Amino acid sequence: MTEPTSYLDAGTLFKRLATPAYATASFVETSGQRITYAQLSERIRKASALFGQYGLTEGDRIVVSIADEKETILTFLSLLANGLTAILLDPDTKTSRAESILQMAEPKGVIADGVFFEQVPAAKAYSMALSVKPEQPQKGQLFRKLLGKTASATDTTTYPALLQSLSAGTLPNQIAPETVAYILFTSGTTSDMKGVQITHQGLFSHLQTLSQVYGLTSESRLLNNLLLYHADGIIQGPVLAAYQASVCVRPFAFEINRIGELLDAIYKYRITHFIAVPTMLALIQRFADGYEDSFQTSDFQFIISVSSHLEEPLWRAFSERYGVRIVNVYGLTETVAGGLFSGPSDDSYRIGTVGKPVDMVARIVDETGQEVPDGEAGELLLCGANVMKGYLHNESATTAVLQQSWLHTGDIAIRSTDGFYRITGRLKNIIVSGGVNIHPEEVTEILNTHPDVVESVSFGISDDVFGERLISCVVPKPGSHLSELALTAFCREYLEERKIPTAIFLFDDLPKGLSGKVQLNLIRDRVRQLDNSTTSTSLDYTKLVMEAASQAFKVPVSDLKPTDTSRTIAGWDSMAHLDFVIRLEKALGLEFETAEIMVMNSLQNAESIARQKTSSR
Amino acid sequence: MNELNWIIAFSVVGLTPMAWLLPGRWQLPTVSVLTAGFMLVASPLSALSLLLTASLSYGLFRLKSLTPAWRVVLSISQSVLVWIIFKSEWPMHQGWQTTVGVPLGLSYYTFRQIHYAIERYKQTLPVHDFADYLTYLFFLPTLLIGPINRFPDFYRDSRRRRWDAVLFSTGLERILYGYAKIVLIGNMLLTNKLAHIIYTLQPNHPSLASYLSLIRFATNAYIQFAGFSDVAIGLSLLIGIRVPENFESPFLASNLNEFWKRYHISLSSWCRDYVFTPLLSLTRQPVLATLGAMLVLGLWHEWSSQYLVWGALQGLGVLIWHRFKRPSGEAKTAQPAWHSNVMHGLGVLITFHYFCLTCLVIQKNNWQAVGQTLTQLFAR
Repeated sequence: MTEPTSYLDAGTLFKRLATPAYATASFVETSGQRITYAQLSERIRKASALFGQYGLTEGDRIVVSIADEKETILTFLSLLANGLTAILLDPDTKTSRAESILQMAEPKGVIADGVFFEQVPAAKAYSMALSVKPEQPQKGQLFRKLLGKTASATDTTTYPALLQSLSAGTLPNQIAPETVAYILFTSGTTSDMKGVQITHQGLFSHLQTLSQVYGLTSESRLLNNLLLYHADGIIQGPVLAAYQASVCVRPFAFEINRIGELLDAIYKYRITHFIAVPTMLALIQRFADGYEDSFQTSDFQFIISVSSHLEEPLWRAFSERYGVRIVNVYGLTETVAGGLFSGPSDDSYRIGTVGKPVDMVARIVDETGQEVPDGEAGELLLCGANVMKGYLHNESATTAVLQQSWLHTGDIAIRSTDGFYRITGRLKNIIVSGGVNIHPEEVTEILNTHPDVVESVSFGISDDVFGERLISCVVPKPGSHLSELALTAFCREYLEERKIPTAIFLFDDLPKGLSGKVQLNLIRDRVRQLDNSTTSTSLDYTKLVMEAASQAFKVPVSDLKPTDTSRTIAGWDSMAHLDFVIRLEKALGLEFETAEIMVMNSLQNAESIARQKTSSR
Repeated sequence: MNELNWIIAFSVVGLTPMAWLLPGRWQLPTVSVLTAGFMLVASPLSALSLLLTASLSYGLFRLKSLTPAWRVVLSISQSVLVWIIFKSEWPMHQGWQTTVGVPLGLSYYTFRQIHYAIERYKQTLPVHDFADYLTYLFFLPTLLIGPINRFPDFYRDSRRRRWDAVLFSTGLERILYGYAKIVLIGNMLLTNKLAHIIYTLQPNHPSLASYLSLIRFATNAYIQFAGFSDVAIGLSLLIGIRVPENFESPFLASNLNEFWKRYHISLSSWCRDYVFTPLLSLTRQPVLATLGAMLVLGLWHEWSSQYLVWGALQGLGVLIWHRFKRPSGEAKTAQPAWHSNVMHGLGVLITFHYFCLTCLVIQKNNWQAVGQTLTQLFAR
């Protein structure tokens, strides 16, 4: 079976959401605002009238580039409900790239922030060019209502204010399944732009798959604060929530100094599913001491890890520390969002794997296209209703990955004899850093345009927190005074912040093979040497702490976990604490300060203090 | 008692509706303002003393000219100074207390402020501002009747607050339980009925009467205090804040060390974290650290020689237990189940009686009376 037996199409879904049963139900909740399903229904009907005025018809492409989250969500769903194809363009996109995309995509209209029209004047030429001015939440509404005052007149030339005067239009009864629902451009060079086209059938059948796998109902409350201009943000967030009339909670953008607040939101908003990228999980694991109980609420079900490879050690450590299951999802923008799922059910859950395909068929093939036996590595191919229609106006790129309805993922996988898939590597030249895909060539292309650069190469190296980091190596022209700083500033002009290399190394030459191709392995080794020269570790702190704890608290080392505290270890009373500290001091040959001993409230805490103490000597 | 009624009434009628009906960001600040208003009416001195010490304990950390060590020392000193002035026997001799009274909730907020200063010095506190700190201190449900809750917990819960019908009804239940404990068990049974029985026993069975009187004092103190804590926890729940438990069936503890992990938990854990552990790390002398912690625990109640002795006796009890306890790592010898049950029961009895006996020194007004009771109990 490659597609769910039945799913709701857009027409049925939005008709259902407009019924009184959902009138007061929440659709999206942010820290300050709430959108109800009634508001969503009203908006898409008014938008329908507006689109009618512009004479737009099913399948017309509209570029959306709005910084305001609420407006992005409402506009995307308005287009979806009216059978128009949304092209989501991150407001962070640099001008040159935005221009190329506009040129190539031939949209019928643009709905974007005022700045977008200033930076890309060509966008004004479209018959429908709507400049967005988000509605400000009105203050003092209670008093207004009490005094019977009506809202002051607003500017009716901007979107969405101009919708106010319109009466609700009617939504199309039926949208053809093969009509493109939305287009997302993946990272790539200007010569090879890839706009992934997802049809209504692909989107809605996959929403059905996701709802079923995650067990969503109208009681579900999804926490998803990923970027809305990526599939995992918009599709596995507001769109998935709307599909089941659930709630999507987006409290605030992810920041390291607000991790505690984000975890508190799990309880505060009664979250049932938390959709995150592995980097977020890695940062939570590092910086959220004392929040171990965050997922122990009566509502919470599981974490859904998306976008990039979830490392096995992080997966295990996180699940153990927070007592929570992490469902690992494998998918591409080309498959809407998912495809293979490890969990939540026990029969599909295995740490370190991407589980099993759901509503898709998977094959693993060698270079010749022959299927390989279980246990052997090969390229992962996927087939299912949720596979994209193709790349917009890019036939060669489409045929390269889509052959006889099989999608070549570019990922190398191994299937175990009992049907679990494990991703072991990558064929395609792409790196995933903090859940964001980056084509190293795109960065190289920009660097090479610098007048003082002879040549350059970019690639990823593995990183504990981000999964991978982008590194660039540059050969400057002789006599030029290029510096890493200057090159980074140059990249900032032409590349989105997430695509800026984390380090740029300058070399006299790049090692090349006989064919003249840059030898990445050699240059990787060079970079690794330079990168490692600053860090050095020799002591096994974990082992020392565990041994001291084992002797002081009289517990076998095998029973100890880094998260153990005086509450979880029976023998850890005040006296044993001193014994523990003294043993640790002896092992390390140093003496702790009073303040340091006072904050050693868990084993991992003791370990990090020991580390700091040794490194500061 | 009268105070408690006012706190309950004002929390239920004034604070709780405001905590839910106002727009989100105004809810808790309004609770604080109303608390301050309540204090101003009930006792202006208390309101001023709290505001002054709170401002100083926060403000001193903002002084750039001071080193961190000086900030924490000065911050703690000012809190402790105010506390000692009002809580020691000295002003009583001066006739102060009759004229100005003791600021309400002084012992609780002094210890909260010390906790705050030390944690701030240790840099373990979450990012917050002065308003957050005031919200923590000016919180009527726990301000006057404890427990000594901690700032990070309070702050975290103030961020996690949500309307929760189950939590709200649990809160109402806890208030009812607490009130019943105080009124029915404490006031009616222990204070009145048992007093009457003791009175009638006195002429013919003086030893038994003394014994019962001893038991009555300690259990009544526990029941009343546990009741107050229930009310505080319940009132906090009505506002959406979960305050930690303060008692866990302490009279079922089988040794004094365990007893103090279950009796007035917020105070004993405070003493562990802010007296015992620093003293231990500083001196590496467990005996000294234990005694120090228990002396502070005693003096928290009142700055008097009686409580000093009472605290010392608690420390002594804990040390004796430590001296004779089975080492934690030693394998338990094969003993029949009844044996360990009997030993455990014996431990519970001894711990309970030891605690009741130590309470004699705070029950009686002078040392002579203590001696008299002891002779009555044991001489005959």
